[in-house]
Amino acid sequence: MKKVLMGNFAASHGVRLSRAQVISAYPITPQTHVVEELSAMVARGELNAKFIKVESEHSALACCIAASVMGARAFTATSSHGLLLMHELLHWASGGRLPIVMVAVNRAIAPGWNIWNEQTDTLSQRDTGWIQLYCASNQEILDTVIQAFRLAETVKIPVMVIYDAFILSHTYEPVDIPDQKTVDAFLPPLKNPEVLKVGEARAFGSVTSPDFHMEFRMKLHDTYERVPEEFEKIEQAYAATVGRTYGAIEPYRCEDAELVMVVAGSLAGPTKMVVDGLRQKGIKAGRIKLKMFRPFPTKPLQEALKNAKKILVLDRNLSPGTGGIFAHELRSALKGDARPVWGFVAGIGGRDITPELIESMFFDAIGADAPVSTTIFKGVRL
Amino acid sequence: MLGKLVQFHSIEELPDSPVTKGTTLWNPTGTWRSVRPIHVSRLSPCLLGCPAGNPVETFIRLIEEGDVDGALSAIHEENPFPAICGRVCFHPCEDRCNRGSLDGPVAIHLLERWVADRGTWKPVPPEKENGKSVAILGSGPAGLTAAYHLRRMGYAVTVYEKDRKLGGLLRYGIPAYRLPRKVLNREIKNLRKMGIVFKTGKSLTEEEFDARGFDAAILCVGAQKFRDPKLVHQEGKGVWQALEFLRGVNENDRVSLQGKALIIGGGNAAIDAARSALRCGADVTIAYRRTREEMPAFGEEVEAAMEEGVNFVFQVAPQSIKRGSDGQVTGVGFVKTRPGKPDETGRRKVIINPHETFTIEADQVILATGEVPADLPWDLEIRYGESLCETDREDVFVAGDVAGRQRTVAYAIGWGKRAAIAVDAYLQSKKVNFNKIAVPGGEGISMRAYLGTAQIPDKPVVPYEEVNTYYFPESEAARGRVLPKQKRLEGFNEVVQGLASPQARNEAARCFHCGDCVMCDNCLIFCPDVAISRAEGKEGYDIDLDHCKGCGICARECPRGAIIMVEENI
Repeated sequence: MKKVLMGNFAASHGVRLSRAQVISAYPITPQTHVVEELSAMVARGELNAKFIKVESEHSALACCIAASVMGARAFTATSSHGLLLMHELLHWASGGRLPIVMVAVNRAIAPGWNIWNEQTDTLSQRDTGWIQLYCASNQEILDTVIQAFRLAETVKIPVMVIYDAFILSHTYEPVDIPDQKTVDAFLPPLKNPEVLKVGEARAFGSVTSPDFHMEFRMKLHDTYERVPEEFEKIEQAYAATVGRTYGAIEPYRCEDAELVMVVAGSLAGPTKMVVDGLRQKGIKAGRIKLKMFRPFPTKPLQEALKNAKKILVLDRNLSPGTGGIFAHELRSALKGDARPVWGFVAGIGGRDITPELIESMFFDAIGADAPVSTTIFKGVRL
Repeated sequence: MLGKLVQFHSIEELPDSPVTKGTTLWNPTGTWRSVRPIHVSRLSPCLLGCPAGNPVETFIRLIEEGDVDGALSAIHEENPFPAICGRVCFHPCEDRCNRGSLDGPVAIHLLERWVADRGTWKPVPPEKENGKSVAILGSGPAGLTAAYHLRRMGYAVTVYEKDRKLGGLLRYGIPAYRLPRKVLNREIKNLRKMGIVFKTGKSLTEEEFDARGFDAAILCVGAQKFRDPKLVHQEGKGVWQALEFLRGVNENDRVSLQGKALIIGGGNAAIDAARSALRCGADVTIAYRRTREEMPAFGEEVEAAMEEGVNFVFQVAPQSIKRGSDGQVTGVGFVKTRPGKPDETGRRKVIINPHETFTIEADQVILATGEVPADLPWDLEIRYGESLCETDREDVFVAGDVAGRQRTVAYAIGWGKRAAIAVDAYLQSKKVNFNKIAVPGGEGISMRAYLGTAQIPDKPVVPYEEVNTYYFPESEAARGRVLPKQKRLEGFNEVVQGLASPQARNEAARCFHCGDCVMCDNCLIFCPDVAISRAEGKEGYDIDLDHCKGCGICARECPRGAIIMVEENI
């Protein structure tokens, strides 16, 4: 059934169809609608879940962790400062190997106080051990939430489903909502035998001495090696039942492209349009949409970029002193590669990134052999 | 410390995350503690407010437990007249109630009244007579209360009342629309059943007291001496003293008053006289020297009088009674006043403006300008000692309005109890530390503390800030239904009705139980160290001090301030 939904409601429907059993969240703009709608769904009896109200994001994730330890399918959603407040518990969830799914809506971080779009909040949680999946449309949000539960439960690693504030969260698009039966066929009920049972006392996350701690972390890292492969299997299964697929990365007109721009999130759309425009002018441009950030899809990226002469990265985020985080990661993935990489930072704090601005980035790269500096800010008003 | 070392041989063998089937009891985290929680019994503000020493929190808890008779008997330990107090007392307990800072105080007076009206009590003579006898002069609330407590302790008690009927001010001062006579009569009948002897229409002289071999006496003769404003032309027909007027109304049930009645004064007697005069058919006006806010009368009563149609004139001082040539009252001459500087008690003086004079028409004038304590009937002086009841003679005591400045029923009841204790201590040669049995910082005194059957909490009163209001959703306080205005003016029917049982139970559930553990288990639920458990075989909780870290969450989460943190002696 097709409905016109804002990105936040697409996420809510994804959670409903996934039959989440415990939902705990604290409202923050621009995430609020996600859980507002879920609480209404619970109240209306459309979703048989326990909705736990809490006083902070820290407690919200703590509730999900406890529910997950008890074997329940748990969901939370947050953004920006809420996500930062969860930071400690992000580690507890991944270290505890709990298959929690979270929606994180990308919003800038204060000061100054800013509710608009920027990706620094989720990217700063890079090393917490959560899988990160960035979405580019409301349809992708709904589909990714459902896939995320299966992925998390397959590899026992929590998953963040990420999308842009307002550009997706509050924007209405037509979304196909699969029926419950189809989703049930794709996502079976969660059965985790290693949960806390009544009458069988166990303590989770107990003290681990230097004799063990390293091995637990190593095991988590090793499991990450399996994630791309499992994700691909899950996407194939989803395509077979629901009929849609996205890929860990989505290259566009990259086969013969000399200039390739790498982006994540909703920028995938406008960059595609700019590439088409450049192609009409005879410029061999291409773009790669990055969906999976953790684990970083190094091999598919190397493959998709193999013919490119110049590589551009458009970051709507900033690691002060380092530059764009995607650019940094990409340079690291390309290792000793001699090809120049332009690292553009734009749209910080929700500033618009227009097609003209994107086009100007391509022209910067066309007109030079190498970038003038590691990080180039675009659209600066000074 | 960690026991046997386990060796995993492959990454598959290693579990996904650290999980243990063991406990952490081996780790005595209690050693980290610098403060420890203790469950304590603390003073509740209502107890501080009650001059009669009613165990408010206790009886409300018994209502909640469904034990109405238990609630009644808890009150009876301290106060024989909950049916009266629940109706006429101006409930200073509620002024202190912490719930007042949230959404309105618990309607304690209505609960007390409900307990008294619904509970059953079978008064009986004491199990053992102690062979001593006490004479009590005056059957007002102080005298009756002293008689009740002494009788319970085994004394033979004789009450002398110079009036025809028993009750003193309860009968002759308080109008029946506030205290129905059948309620008063029932309470007095109960005292008779206990074996208290009443002699009405009789007084007792000091000589008779000596001659009849009483072991002690308590003089409770009240404060009925008129404070005379000495107005010009005051003497003569048509001018009443308030108590005299009320006595007339209360004796005859109704006095016919024609025309306009003007009441002078701003105290409770003025309001009682005004509302009674209305019911007798008069058009009533109250004239008071100060402002409404400065009226000593209780606010609820003033409001009721206004509702019923009493007119008020403020900031006027009476000068003279105006009389016609036939001597009939035609009005009262007044001058205007304005507030001056506060005197040493903080009350603003009244400054009279002699140039602004005017007359208010009246056919009857009632002077409610106050009373002063009556002269003691015997040739004695009051000598306030430790009990505040002593006189020159060691076997003669005083109680009630004759001895006190705060003249309300609840104070009289408290005073009667005080005198009973003083008499018992004297006759049994007991040393009593009145500070130990009085409510610290409050007005009341505890009979249970005197008899050693209960203790007054010695820990400080719980302020509102220490109540965890998170646990108390806001709710409206119960109100007694009131008679419609027209019905009220038809006669002396009781104006305020009592609570229905479901209302009473809801109201009781509003009590915070400040400073008293009600075994709600909150501390146990919130303890992150699972160090609190229900005590075995008794009420209360045990704290496992080997594992209590002293974090204080239990004290913070206690809804009623019944857990305090005390420093460890390190």
